[in-house]
Amino acid sequence: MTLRGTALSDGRHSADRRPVMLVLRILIAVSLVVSAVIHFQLAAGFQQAAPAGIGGGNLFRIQGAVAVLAALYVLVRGTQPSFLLAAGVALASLVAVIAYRYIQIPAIGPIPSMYEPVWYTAKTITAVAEGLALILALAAYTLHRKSPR
Amino acid sequence: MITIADFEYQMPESIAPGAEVTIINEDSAPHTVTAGGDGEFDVEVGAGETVSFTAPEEAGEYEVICTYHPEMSGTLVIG
Repeated sequence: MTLRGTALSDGRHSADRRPVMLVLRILIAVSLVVSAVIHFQLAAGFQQAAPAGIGGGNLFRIQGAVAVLAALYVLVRGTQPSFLLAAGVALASLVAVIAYRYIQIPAIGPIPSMYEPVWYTAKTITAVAEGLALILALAAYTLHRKSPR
Repeated sequence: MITIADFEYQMPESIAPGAEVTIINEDSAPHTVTAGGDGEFDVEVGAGETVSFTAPEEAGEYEVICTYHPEMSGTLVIG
């Protein structure tokens, strides 16, 4: 009786979380796609601005492709690994945009120097979207862990 | 008129000394039109913005750089 009651209670909590998880998954995906779209838009210019190694533009295109794949993974599966991947992509992108804004990092192997000491609308939107994706992905990961399976 | 597109300067053949020069930035990122030598001019142009400045009175070739994007450079001919 007690076990049945607990199972019912857990099941109800799990069902209660489903809409929240769905909203989180959509928001994570949207944030990642926003970041990806801006990276794709800026890619041509940054290939000119940072042509060394594989080029800044190609790095932007890689970031965009990985962010879109992570967004799809979160939307389609919504599993813990998908949230971790989304958080990892968002964290790497956020660290890069902030580091290259404030630190004159030299070229590292195939990665060109992409120091750009200025904030502007597109860059700010990207940073905010990546920060949002990171926080939401970590929240989704935590909630998913607590959900009974 | 100077146009900036895809992180490249498109310079006119020459500009008259002291003329009003319009700069159009077609990029999503801001740029500067900065004289590389003695700092005769240093103009910031926001993303998608148009600004103008007064060309130097002294004729000559001025190296132009973007302080935000060191790979960007060009030559402004005054004369």
